[in-house]
Amino acid sequence: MALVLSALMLMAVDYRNPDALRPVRTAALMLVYPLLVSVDSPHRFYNRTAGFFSSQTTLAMENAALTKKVETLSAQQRILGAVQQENAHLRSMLNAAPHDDYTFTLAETLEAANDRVRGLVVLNKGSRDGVHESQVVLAGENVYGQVIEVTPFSSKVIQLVDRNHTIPVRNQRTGERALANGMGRGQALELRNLPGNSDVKEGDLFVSSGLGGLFPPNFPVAKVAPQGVEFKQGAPFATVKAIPLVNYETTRDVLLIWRKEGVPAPVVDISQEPAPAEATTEAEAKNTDAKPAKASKQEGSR
Amino acid sequence: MPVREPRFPGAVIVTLLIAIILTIIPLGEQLSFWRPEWIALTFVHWALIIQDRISLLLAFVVGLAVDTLFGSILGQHALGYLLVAYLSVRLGLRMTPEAFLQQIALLGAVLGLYMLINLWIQGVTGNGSGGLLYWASMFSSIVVWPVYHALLGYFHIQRKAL
Repeated sequence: MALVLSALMLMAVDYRNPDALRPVRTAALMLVYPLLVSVDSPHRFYNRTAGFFSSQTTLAMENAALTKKVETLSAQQRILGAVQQENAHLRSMLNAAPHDDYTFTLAETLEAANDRVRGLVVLNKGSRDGVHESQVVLAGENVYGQVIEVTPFSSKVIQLVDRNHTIPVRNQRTGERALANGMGRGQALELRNLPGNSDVKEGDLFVSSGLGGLFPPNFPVAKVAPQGVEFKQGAPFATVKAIPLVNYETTRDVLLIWRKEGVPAPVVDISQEPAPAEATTEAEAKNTDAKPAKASKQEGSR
Repeated sequence: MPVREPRFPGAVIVTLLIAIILTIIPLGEQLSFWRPEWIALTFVHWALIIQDRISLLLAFVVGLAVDTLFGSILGQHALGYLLVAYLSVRLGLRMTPEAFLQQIALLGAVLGLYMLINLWIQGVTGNGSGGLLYWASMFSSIVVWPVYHALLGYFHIQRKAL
């Protein structure tokens, strides 16, 4: 009887105020972590041994393909470097805040069954590896989800498809902004607040808009499903179904990203507007085109 | 009446660990709907074997562990397993293998209540799944029950009462 009461109380507290029970959740997650690892280990073992026994021709082919990819990518990287430099210079002329910089680390999801509806997974990296709450997780180049809970060895990630998750997105073709709500595992995301006269079409790509400051902008999120756009007569908004680009049932390797701080927040810039603005304009007058943003700022402050 | 005891100390915990592992072993998306409620079945099994010596506290703790694993609200499965263990102890004498159909029916009732409570809590917290497929695991549980019950029989021994 006492236990039933305490279970009911736990639920009530957890429902009203999830933060209050955070330590309990973290401790419990640490306790069940060995179970998760033990369930995951056969799969991991198989992957390792499969790699060991794969034939030489496959490896050679893979190697050739990868070398080719590295070559093309490094060529692209060179062009990108030049563009970045140019961009930094242009931004310094506009006196805009520099772009955020990101660093990445690879992590693996622990292969274990979850609730059938919710999109929650456990990663094998925790606060020991520098993971923190509300950190963004990518899979390949697509947005995967965000970290909601961290223990020293593991962390829990909420996927975009979870019902309690919403991500601000932008239509890459038209630039229209919307919110993509998760509708549960195995279901498409739903965009509810596109206006009724919106120009959204099948196959449109939605990327993260970067509004809200959590998700970095311009990472692909979802593609509008075939016959996913529905304009209801008289309804103010269109309902759009978009299929997430990450296949949540098969993806195991994910990327954790860290935003490099040291970038002045735009709000702070406004309050300090006059002085730096003058400084940079002066600097621009002095500088030749080739100099990147940082150098020009240093000169200006002198 | 013969007394039945766990084969070794901690046998209950071992079977529960096995059940938890069976619960979180990855299956395909479609197949996972048909995954039996292993943990609930294990509690029913031990309620029939060792009757009121089953620990409700253990049910509570296992429930909390499952809540963490599944990310459901803390206490949801704890409450569920408490009810399963308690009810099957109370109904234990009627769930005899001699009256097989009666046993199955009672098992269905206990599991049904458990899943109904889960469904209700999930609905309130906004994670309801909807659809009749939710009940698939109840039927697979009942189908798998006789075999599972027999296999778990390894973990206890029978003594003649003195």
